[in-house]
Amino acid sequence: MNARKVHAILAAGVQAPDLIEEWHRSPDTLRALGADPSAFNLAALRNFAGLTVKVRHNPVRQDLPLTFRLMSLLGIEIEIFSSYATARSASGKPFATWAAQRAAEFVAFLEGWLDFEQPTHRAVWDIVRHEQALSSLLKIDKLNPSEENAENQPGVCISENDRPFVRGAVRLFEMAFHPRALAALLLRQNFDFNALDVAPGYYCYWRKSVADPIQFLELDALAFHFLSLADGTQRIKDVQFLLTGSRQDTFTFLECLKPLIGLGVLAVSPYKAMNPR
Amino acid sequence: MKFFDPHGDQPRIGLAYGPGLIEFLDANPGLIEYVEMPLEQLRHSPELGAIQDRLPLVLHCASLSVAGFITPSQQTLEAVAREASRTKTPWIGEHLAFVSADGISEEAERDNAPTNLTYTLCPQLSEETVQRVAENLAAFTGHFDVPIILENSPQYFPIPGSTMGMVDFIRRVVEVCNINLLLDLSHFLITALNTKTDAAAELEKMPLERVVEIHVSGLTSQAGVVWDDHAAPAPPEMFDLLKRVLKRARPRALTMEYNWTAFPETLLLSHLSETREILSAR
Repeated sequence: MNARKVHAILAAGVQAPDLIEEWHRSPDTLRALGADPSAFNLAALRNFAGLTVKVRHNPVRQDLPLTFRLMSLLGIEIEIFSSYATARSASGKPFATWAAQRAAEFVAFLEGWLDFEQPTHRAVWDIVRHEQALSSLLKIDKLNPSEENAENQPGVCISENDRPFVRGAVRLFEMAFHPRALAALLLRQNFDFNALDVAPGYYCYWRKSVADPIQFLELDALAFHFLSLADGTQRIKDVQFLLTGSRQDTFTFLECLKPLIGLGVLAVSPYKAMNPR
Repeated sequence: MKFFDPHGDQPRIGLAYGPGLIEFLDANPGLIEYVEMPLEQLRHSPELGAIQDRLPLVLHCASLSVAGFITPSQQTLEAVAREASRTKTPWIGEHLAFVSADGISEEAERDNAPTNLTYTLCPQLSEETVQRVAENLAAFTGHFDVPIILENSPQYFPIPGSTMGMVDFIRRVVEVCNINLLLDLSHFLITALNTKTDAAAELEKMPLERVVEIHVSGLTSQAGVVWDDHAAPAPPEMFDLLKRVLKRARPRALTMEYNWTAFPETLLLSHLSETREILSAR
């Protein structure tokens, strides 16, 4: 087979890896190009296409360095990127020009690709969300003024009719591993995944205002779900009903919210306010 | 502006450009002597040229498709020449590989539209390719003020139609084209591991007296293949190979291609220190 033809076929496969799948399914399509299918290691070519897509995602590393490191240390980086390369090629969608968008699309792919039954895959999902939360909160350069300027209300007397809202911006995640422990492990020279304890938890990444640093909060289940529903449109008693199925014992429920108000992540607007934001 | 002086007694140690480089230079003044800059990145972000106020630049290129059958456009050749002249790079390091090839679809063949990639591919290792490399290099004559040096590709799988191994291919290219080399030790080791040959024995057959620059970076083994990885540290075998190379080679520069590092900076510092010791002891 002459070099010119071989180069043309290899380049076509790398540029459009779904072609490699087609050549694998129907070797006659490769023969039709004047090539001997048995001469091509299509599995390796597919993985090589994955390597090239991984390299094209190098700008994404700036936001997701530990995610890339974990994928590499677990030995699944090439597998992930070759699957991604094939999927993108089949979809006909080019990769986004901007790194942030390219990262978001990659993370969306990961969510569908990862097998959450596998602890290693869960760890990848945890660290990628951890890094994306930090990166997206750091990039915020403007927050709704009413949220930024809301007075802290630690001593405020809250009522079941108040409408709760989050002050600033939060990212809320339920994770299988403690993200800080995972990050610390990844920064060590000797990586041993088995040294990491499974530590399911609820985590909140919070930036109160553009002048404030990001805070990392470990929450209980109630606080986590309450914050995810506190959008300023529903009354506390409505959120309570959504979470507990009951409107009884509101006093206890309100007591549970006081630590969040004390921290400043949660604020309330009075019942009569038409638009608390 | 700082320029690379290729006539020093000792090989210079440089770092490949990547995010975090400026912070690294600030934190470790005087530790490295030049920055290797991808020409394509410099074209895309000309402001990176400001690095040359602090350190010399050595250009690395992936646009010339030296082992390919599609010639680069006049615009590409002019851009390479312009950057080479502007930076006063001592040479242009280019891959012994291809980035463009004929299209394969009926439309592509009819329209004569090539497939253009963003990453270099290992070519067919054959006499046909050797002759093509010679034709391409001859066509570049007169375009550039500085010489091209060729970097060995990593081989991840057998290239159909190949009639020789990587080292024999490189030897033939050197013989026919009378050209110097950029020895990427990571690529060399990767090829040896993937083709199940003995790296040290293969190195003995290499025309090491032609080596002008050396690359050192990491590698990773995944899906049954060893891959190039600029985010991984070089393994100890790499430093053993470097010692062997320096018994015969007299390179002018050694570039650590650690440009996507997520591993601790202490490791990078220790590898730089180890490399400097090896170079000093030769």
